[in-house]
Amino acid sequence: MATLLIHAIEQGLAFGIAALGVFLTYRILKFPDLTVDGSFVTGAAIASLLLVNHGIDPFTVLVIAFLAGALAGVITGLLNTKLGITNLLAGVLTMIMLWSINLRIMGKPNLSLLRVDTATKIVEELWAPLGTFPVLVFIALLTLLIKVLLDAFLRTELGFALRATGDSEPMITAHGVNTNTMKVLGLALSNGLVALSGALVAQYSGFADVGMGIGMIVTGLAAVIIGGSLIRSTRVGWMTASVLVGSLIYRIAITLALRYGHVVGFQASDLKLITSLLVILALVVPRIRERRARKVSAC
Amino acid sequence: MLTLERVTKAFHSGSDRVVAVEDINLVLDTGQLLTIIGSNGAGKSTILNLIAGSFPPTSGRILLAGRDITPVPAHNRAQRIGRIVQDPLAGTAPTMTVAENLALALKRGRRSLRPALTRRLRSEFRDQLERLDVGLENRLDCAVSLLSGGERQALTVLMATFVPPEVLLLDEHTAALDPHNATMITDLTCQFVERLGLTTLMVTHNMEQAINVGDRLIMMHKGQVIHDMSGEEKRRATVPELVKLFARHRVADDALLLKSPA
Repeated sequence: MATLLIHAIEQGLAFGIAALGVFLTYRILKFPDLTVDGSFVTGAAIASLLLVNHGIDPFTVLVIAFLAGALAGVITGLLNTKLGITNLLAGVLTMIMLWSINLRIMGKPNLSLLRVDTATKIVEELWAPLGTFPVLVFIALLTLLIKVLLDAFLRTELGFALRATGDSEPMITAHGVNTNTMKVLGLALSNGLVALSGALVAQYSGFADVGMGIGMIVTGLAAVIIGGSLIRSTRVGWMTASVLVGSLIYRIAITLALRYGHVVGFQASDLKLITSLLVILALVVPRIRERRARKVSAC
Repeated sequence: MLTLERVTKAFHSGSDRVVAVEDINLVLDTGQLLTIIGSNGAGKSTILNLIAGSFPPTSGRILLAGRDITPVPAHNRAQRIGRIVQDPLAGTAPTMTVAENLALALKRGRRSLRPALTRRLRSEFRDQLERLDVGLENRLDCAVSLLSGGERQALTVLMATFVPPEVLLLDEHTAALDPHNATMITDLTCQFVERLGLTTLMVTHNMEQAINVGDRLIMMHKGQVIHDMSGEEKRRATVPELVKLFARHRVADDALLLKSPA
């Protein structure tokens, strides 16, 4: 049970990086971006390819995965802003294109990382004498580092402009900001984070699979929405913290459901159905609650 | 100086073609406050949209300080042109705080990777907010969505003039407010415009406001300027007079309509 929980926390944090990406588009930019289903795999695919065939350092690989994901985000952004394709469709189109591209990168639907030194393996060997849960500590530190960097960015002038773009386009245009540039930038950052998460998850689980990104957007939304309903704040630091908390809770819930769900007749294959129902519930409940008590909190 | 040279704006084409502004010439001196009145669909807001660059004119040129800005996109014009619209929700970022909104207004144009809010800025914001006299100086960390319409519009006025623009566009910016707040925002706007000597265009539905505010008034009808008054004429103008002027043009229109061959 304890190991099960540790694994759930590790996964919650690793997927939490992707959830931060989803947070950036869904919450900050108000751009529901479906690219993530593809860019998550792109990160995993590139990381695996570079590790298996080119022997590149597993930590550098994370950075390269980020850049590849960012490129995918730029494509969705340009489809939307330059070609005028609606945000949902632009994301779907890139996601489908990435399916083929990811297969090209990997050369086959599945790449095993069992024989190469992944970041988590290296950490386990290096840090084993230092602590009890080296992999957990490593993933937690990496996730926190990314959270802190993201917070810092969102507090810069550029970060403010990005947030205002999602809030009120006419307003920020009137203050001299090109909202199209902001959208492309936001999508690039978001998908960069998602791909980095994919690269980390692939190294952690020891393989990359072309289908591992299916439903990524819903998983990310689940984290964003669960976290957002628990921690309500307009402060950047609390908002990103809530996403990570949401991701942890989601992962633990899923782990428990997979472990004990058979008691009530659940199968592992029901996971995506349950996740989506969970997101629907999380989206609807606050609205009902709002309708019941239309009270504006004093400030 | 702001110049509109034979500016025409038509929407759609073919049989759906609607001419919102037709062949308008307008020269606005630096520091002048111009009020614009007119019936619905007269082209008042279209003029402001054209100056702001929300859409390009069908023909004609717009010059600012002698430079042709017609091809310049809206976000680049915003470096020189400030704007406040009717909807208090549109002028601010609602999920961001009062201080964060003010920080956004500190710059027109390019943004850097420097922290947007510092302690020094916060105290400066507090001083500036005190001038508004609506109590916002104690609510720096309050999300703007929690402010009232009047408070939000007051904040918008401060934001639009934080970095004084060369031209300020006011598009019925008091129309969505209750009379008390509308007066407060009008006074506030005049105070800022006067102190900073801003070249301003103010579209309004309120004829009394159009007469009392500013030093020049134009009346628009069907995409054209039908009357342009300033100086002594404007100082002496009254609402009934303006109504009469309006009526004359409307009657002329109706007469034309009746005369036209069926």
